[in-house]
Formats: sequence, C-alpha cells, structure tokens
Amino acid sequence: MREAVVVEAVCGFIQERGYAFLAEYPLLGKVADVYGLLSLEHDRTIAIECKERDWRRGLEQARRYQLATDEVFLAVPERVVTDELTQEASRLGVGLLVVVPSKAVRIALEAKPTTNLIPSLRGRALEHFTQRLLLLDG
Amino acid sequence: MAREFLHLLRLGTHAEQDYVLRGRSFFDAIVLNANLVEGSKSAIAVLVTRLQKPYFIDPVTYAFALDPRLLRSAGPGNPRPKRSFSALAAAYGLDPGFVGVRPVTSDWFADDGAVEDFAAHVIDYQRTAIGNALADDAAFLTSELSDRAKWVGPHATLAPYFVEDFRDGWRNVNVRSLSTHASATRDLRGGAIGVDSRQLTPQNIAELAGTYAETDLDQAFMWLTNFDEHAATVGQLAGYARLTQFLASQGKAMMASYGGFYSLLLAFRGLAGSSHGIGYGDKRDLEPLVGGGLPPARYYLRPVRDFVSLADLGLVAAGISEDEFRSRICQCTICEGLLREGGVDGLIEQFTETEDRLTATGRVVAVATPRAYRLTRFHYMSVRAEEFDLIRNTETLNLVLGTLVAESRWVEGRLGLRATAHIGRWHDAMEMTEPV
Repeated sequence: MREAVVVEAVCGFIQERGYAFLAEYPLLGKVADVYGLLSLEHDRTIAIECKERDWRRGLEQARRYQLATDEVFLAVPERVVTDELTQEASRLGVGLLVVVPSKAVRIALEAKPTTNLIPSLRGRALEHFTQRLLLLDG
Repeated sequence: MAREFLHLLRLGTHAEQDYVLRGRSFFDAIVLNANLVEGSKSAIAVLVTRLQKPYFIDPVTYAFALDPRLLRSAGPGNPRPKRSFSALAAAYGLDPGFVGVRPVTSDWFADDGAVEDFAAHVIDYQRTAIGNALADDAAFLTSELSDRAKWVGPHATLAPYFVEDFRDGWRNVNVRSLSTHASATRDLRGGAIGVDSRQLTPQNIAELAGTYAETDLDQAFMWLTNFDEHAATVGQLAGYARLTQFLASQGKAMMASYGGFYSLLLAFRGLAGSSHGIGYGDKRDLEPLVGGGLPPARYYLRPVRDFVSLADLGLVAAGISEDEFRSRICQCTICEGLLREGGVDGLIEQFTETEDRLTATGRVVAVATPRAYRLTRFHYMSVRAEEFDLIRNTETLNLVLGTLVAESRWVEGRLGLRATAHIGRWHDAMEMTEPV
C-alpha cells in the first residue's frame, strides 16, 4: 500500500469524524501529511504523519508536531505494525492509525497529551490553518 | 597564552553584507570570491573599506576547469556565460570565449611561460581589484572613507589553483603556480590547495603532503571538496588531520577554506585558521547545487556543533527553564535577548516564525520569515565567535573533547544518536593523530 493511499484513507477517516482538514500542511518547517481541527467549538487540533513503511522516521516527524498540535498520530498500513512500533509510539505519546487493505482505518493507539506542547506555536499553526481554509472557501 | 587561530568569514552573496558589517566583531578577516568581487566591484570595495579588516580574494581559478554549464547564466535555453566569470577570465589573461563553452585543462599550462603569465595576472588582480574600483569611484574619493585606504590591499595573495583529483595533471600546474608566485612576491607566499576529498586515500594524502611540503608556500587555504565533517568517517577525518599536521610540521600555515567545529579541533593539529560562510558555509562541494530555492532556516545547536531543523530546536528546548536553556543550549547575545523577551517558548516562537509563499507551481508553502533568517544567522555568527575563543583559550584538546562529549549527551537524550553520532567520530579521529 503506497503512502498516497494511506493519506487518502486517513483524510476520509477524520472527515467522517467531523474534522476540517488540509493535506500537506506546513508545520514547524516540515510538512504534516494531514492537519485538522475538530470544529471551533471543540478546539482540538490533530496532525497525522503517514508512512508506507519507515515508521521510525514517521515517529520522528510526529514528535516534532507535538510542539504545536494537541494530538499527533502516525498512520501506517496494517502490515507494518509490530509490537516494537506500538511500544515506541506509546512511549512518545504518538497515536497509531492502522490502514487495512480495504482502506478502512482503525485506531490502534490513542494519542496522549504531551508535555512538549508550546501554546504559542499551537496558536500560530491554528491561525494559519483557519486563514488557509478561508482562502480555499473564498 | 592564547593559541593563535584565525577566524575568517567568507562572503557568499552581496545580500550578506549587512551581516558582515553588523557582525564585524565576530571574526578576524574576510574571504571574498573573485567572481563576487568582479560582479560588483564598487560595492565590495566600499564594504572592505568600511569593514577595516584584513581580506583575501579567493581567485576561484578552479571554476574554469569545471563543467562549463556551471559558468552559464541560469534559465532554460540561455547559454550565455556569466558576465562575472567572462570578465574574470579576461582579467586573468585568458580569452573569455571559452567560458561556458569548454573547460580549461592542464594542457593549457603545459609550458612554464603560460603558468607564469596566468599566475602574474591572477595575483595582480587580487592586488589591484579593490584599489582600482575605489579609484574609479568618485563618491569614495571625496568621502570620509578615503582615509581608510590602508585597507585596500589584500592580507596576502593566493596563487592560482585547480582542484586536485589525482588524474588530470593539475598538481603539476598548481605547484608551478606556487613557485611562480613565491619568486614574484616579497610578501606572504599564499596559496590554496583544493582536493577532491573522495580521492583522499592514505596513499594520496602522503603524496600530497610530500609535494606541498616542498613548495615555498607560507600560508594556504585547504579545501577538501565534498567533505562533510558531520558525515565523514573516522578514517576520512583522521586523514584530514594527518594532512594538516604534516604540512604544519613543515612550516606551512594551513587554514580551512570551509570548516565547521572539526576544523577548529584541528587547531590542536597545527591548523592556523578556518573560514566559514554566514549560513551553510562550513562545507562546499566541487560542483555547487544549482536551483532549489532558498534553503530552510536552521538553528546552530551549540552542544552538538551542528545545524538542526527549527522543529528539532523545539524538541530540544521544550519544557526546560530559561536557566537550563542558557547552560545546556546557548547564551549568545541573540538567544539571551529572546529569552529575556519571552522565555524559552518565546525564543522558539521567534526562531520558528514562518510566512506563506506561493511557489511557481501554485502551491502555498510556509517559509521562515526574513526576521527568523536574520536571527538564526546572527546566532550562528555569535556562537562561532565563541567557539573560536574556546579553541584559542583552552589549553588541551582533551579538555575541549571532554566538554564536547558531555554537552552532547544531554541532546542525545532528546534527539537521539542521529544528532550526535559525529561527535564520537571526531573524538576517535583526533585520538588517532598526534599533535604537531
């Protein structure tokens, strides 16, 4: 399963859950595969790094997003999931989304709130996000 | 007594002049590439006189032997040679018609007369380029800057040089150039040794060291092309140290053309100075990357003596106090100012500030703001100045290495081994070689 398929499946998944989202969202000098906001009322932001197989690199990226995002997930195809990946993601507080061959997505591990969050960076990411959404709507 | 070790800054583009002037207390001397001088002589000349610091002009003669496409103006279907290189070729006594069309080869300099004529032109250019530009500048002659005329001559002139690839016969040309220069000058006999680092086997190192030790060179820049201190193996690093050490032991004052902190460690193996740029100038490939847009702003992380992404700065600094930031990461003028203004979070916010830009393909991308660029660069210049002072004032290599290893361990806990692995290699390479 290619990374683009993982991204597509994840976008569908968070859309169903009511998130507004953007793919390829610039975040802290990197590009998050998916960044979203669960309605202004709930005010929860989410960043998702999608990887076809290199989950270590994915977790490294995901850790950085924790500085500016409430919940951070790594999304991988089902065949990539191992105990080692799950343990490492759990240790870092990164959630795990698993994409099965039918392109359905399940949450294998919930994201934990991290101590790394810097409120001003979160605020800036969110502000850019809403501006971009307005531009796209406009 | 403090160790003598020259801190040189290399001007990469005209846009960097403001950094050079504002940061003039951070370095000892400046290196100007001849093509940059040729591209805007008046502006560079005024910079030199305002700066009032010694300067060198790197004649960049090696560029004429590279793929000629690199000497053409950018743009599809535009085969025009770059004006600065055409003008430089003419100033060096060569027919500029070859620029951008074909490379020079060592055959061009087969007879001694050709080498002598070329070297004479190249050296004369370095001696006179700034002075001539000022003489042509009426505004300068009538300004208060004219009393700074003593700064118009270079600190030393460099013989023409081509990059040694152990194949094309350039070593013979280089050595004859040095010899011509030595016999024609009463000043410091300067040069540059460019070596393709990918060919730097122990045997080639021994050959090079033996050859250049026998020249009349007093002072030379050493450029290992395609050499990345942070990625090099222990063997490559030790080879660099041995070459430096041998030449220093023969009385040659060697300076790194492009160097990071490893080149500073080589002060303990006889290196006399090191040069770097304002952004990414601690290494340079033989054939520079072309295009790709503005490089991302990066943060020079003092405890690991390397650049990290701004996101990694966030990871390293998240959750620590201001005092911990000062003791573990940085307390340079820039960081101190930002810490006082907004604490650690505020500092991270300032360094990671971005703005949206539209790309040529219509995508919106976030790039560092001009302010973030300025902050990262002045921070880098400031930390580099501290590093040179550390090397000058620390008595033994073991003290420097001990501090380096200890400081990097804390970062390893936050960023992993990928951010610190080079420190172990530097340590091992230095241990494999002896002081001069």
